[in-house]
Amino acid sequence: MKKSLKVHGVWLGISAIAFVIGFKFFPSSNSNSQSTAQSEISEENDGANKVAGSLSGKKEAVNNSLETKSQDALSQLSDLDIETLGQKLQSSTSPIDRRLAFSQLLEGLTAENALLIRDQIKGFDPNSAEFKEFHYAWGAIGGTEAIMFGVDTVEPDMQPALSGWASSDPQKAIAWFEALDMENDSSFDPLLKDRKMKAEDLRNHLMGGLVQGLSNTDPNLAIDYVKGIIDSGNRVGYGLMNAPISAMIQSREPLDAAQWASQLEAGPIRNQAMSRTADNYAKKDFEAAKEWAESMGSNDGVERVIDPVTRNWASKDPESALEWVSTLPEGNAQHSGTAAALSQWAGKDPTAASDYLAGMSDSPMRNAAISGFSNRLVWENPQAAMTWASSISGNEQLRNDVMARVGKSWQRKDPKGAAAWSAENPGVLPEGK
Amino acid sequence: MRKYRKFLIHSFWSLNAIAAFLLGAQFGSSPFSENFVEAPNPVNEAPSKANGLSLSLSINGTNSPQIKKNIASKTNQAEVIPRGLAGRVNGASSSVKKLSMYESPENRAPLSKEEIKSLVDLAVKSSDPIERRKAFDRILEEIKSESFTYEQAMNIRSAMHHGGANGEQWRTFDYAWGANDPASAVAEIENIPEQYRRGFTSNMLPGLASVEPKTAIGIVEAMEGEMRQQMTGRLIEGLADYDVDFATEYVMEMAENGDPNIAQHMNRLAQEVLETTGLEGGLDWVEGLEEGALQAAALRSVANEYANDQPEQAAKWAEQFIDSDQNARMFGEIVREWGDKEAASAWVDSLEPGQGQRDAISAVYGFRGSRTPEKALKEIQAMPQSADKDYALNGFISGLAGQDGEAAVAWAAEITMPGMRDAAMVRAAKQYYKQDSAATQEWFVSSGLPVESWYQISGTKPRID
Repeated sequence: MKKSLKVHGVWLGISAIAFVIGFKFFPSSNSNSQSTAQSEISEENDGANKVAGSLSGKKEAVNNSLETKSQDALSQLSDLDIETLGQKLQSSTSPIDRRLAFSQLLEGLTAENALLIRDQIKGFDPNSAEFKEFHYAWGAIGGTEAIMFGVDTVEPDMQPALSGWASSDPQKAIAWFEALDMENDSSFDPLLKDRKMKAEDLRNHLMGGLVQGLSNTDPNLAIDYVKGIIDSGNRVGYGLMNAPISAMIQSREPLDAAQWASQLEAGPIRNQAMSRTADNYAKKDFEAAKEWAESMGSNDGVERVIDPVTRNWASKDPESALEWVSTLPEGNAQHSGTAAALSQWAGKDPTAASDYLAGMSDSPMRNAAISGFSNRLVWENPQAAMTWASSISGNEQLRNDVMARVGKSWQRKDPKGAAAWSAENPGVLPEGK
Repeated sequence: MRKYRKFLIHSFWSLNAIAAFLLGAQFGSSPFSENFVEAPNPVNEAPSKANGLSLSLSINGTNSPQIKKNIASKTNQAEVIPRGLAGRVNGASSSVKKLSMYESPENRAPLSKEEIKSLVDLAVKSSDPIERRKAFDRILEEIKSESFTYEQAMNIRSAMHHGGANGEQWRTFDYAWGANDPASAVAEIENIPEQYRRGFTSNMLPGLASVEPKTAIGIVEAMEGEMRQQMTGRLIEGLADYDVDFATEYVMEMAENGDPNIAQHMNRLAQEVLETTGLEGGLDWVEGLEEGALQAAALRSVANEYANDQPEQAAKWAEQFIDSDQNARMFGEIVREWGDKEAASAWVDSLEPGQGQRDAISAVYGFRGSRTPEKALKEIQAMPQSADKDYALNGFISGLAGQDGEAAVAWAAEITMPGMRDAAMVRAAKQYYKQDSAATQEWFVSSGLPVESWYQISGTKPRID
């Protein structure tokens, strides 16, 4: 009897466990699991601001579960629903209702209904946020299908689609992109042969989308990727580095972003990141940015922080900014701050700035000040700017560099005037301009 | 026999376990699980991506309530999550699904201050554009709900201010407030600090006008000067959202009352009509207007949009208006928007001689002046002295001035029609001034232009010395 009870007890327990497992992990979903699409868009978006790692396993479980339910997701928006929303999108007189209708279309987007939804937004300007976001969302769920759809269209839809894919599945997107051999892939013929696009231009264009998507989900991965581009000698990388930096500035608190930048590997990306994040910090909370800049002492790259902080200050009060700069440790940072302050001052009140310069004795600090001053003054008075630049003393290399820089700006502003000056002063400005 | 009995018992329990599993799975998607997820949680500041994750999960599913609960509790977003964007409640009944698709979701508790802050933070700071949109749309849905309060509006504005919302978000929010809670939005005009009043009113007014046109008109008509002019434009946008015919009548009335900026207002109305009714609606609307200066202003706007999209069709469509001189500027508009300049030039040549063709010629030479100035100049010089030549020069100097202001001012002086010549010289001199201010000053002294023109050229008062 006892043994029999035990058996029943064990089975009862098993049944209870089965119930719990069914309840927790295998809910029968006529629920709108919304499609793998949405799950990929959002859940694989574990970028710089990832939630705790402990969640990742569970996210995967949700993904897996959702993937098995893609068929259910198809029922999320019927064709009629989509067309009704499309109608609302086109004919509602309320911009708010139009906006919400578009969002509902995005929410119901699946790989299967993407083309029908695209039909609803075809009237949008290809440069509009809606057009780009639709392709971004489609890319996130459709991957190559969404990207390659763009081969046959005239609108720039491949780039946002690749962005979306890179944001939802960075590694696969990178692998796909790296394996591209467009010249030998006939699916690119409509672009390369019919529309005569250059493969290199198309590749760089798509690369922009890839980096943007990586930046949205994992700025550090994007930084590594861009570094690889720069190291390979592709100068496009210098422009692309701004995407992950912008993503950090947008998504992080100013101090977090600035600290992130300072921890990057030394090089052009770090320089740019430090300048931009410090500038953002100074604009958002000047006092805190100033304190942070001071706390950096003589750290490597501190001049990248001092420059924008001083620049922001000098735009309001150049003399106080210069006073502050004079309290910093001597060296690059101090020179950088001085140049930034004089540059701002030259824009605000060139006469007062030149009076200040005239009162300085020959020194590296004065040279730095002249550098900043003439770089700005060239846009108002190029001749005077060049005269000032030529007065840099004790550092021929710096003098030549500053004069060349002023000359280039002069050529852009007033090619004839620059040419006339160059004729009288040969060897300073680059030829042929 | 005993073995058979054992087999029966185990079989029974096996089936029982399977049934329990299925039952569990069934309950797993039951309303119980939704309620479980929807249980309000305190919301505090979580990293933006964490917010994004939880918000997205809510949209995605109740496939795994436990996971959802875990994530929700970790991100403190649960209350925001299950409702998600546009109220998508996963696993909801079909009626709820319908509701969430076409209407503002009901059965929601109003968003708390903390939830508002989290959503706004996400809308501003997420690096994912889709997440930003979703979060902001959730705010907009709240504004559309019956339970929306003034306090919520203030909380949203405060969160947007501290979070650093962009201009587009401000415009959208203020519009939505004006359209959905006009009384408190109007009251806010008086309450809001002075430095924000103009921006707020400008954003909110079209929303208000879209639901309470007379109230909005009353507010604008009580204003004066430049403020009134600016707000009139915004008012017209909102009136068009309310009803295009109503807005058109209002603008016609303003014309009858001698409004000096009527062309500008008509242009604004045309833009708005095109935006809300599309190109076809815009064409129907403009063709239905009474002939005259107002229709001409509207035709110019519509032609611009049409040519930008379908230049050949726009050109054909425009020809029906060529007989009237006051419609001339739409022809130049079409040429400027036409990507294929050769096709545009051929079309201009085919037009009946008249003011419309002249305006189009001007536009053709505007393009040529910027691309192939020497060739363009030879063509112009070969023309007999005529109004056509003046128009060609007028366009030519506009194209040339960006690259060579000095030459542009010199050629502008060759125009024989005095009014056109002076206007062309000023236009060219503006570019010249950017390129070489000192030389422009020198040129101006002997240009023969009135001294007041210097302000138009340089943005500074003339120096009398």
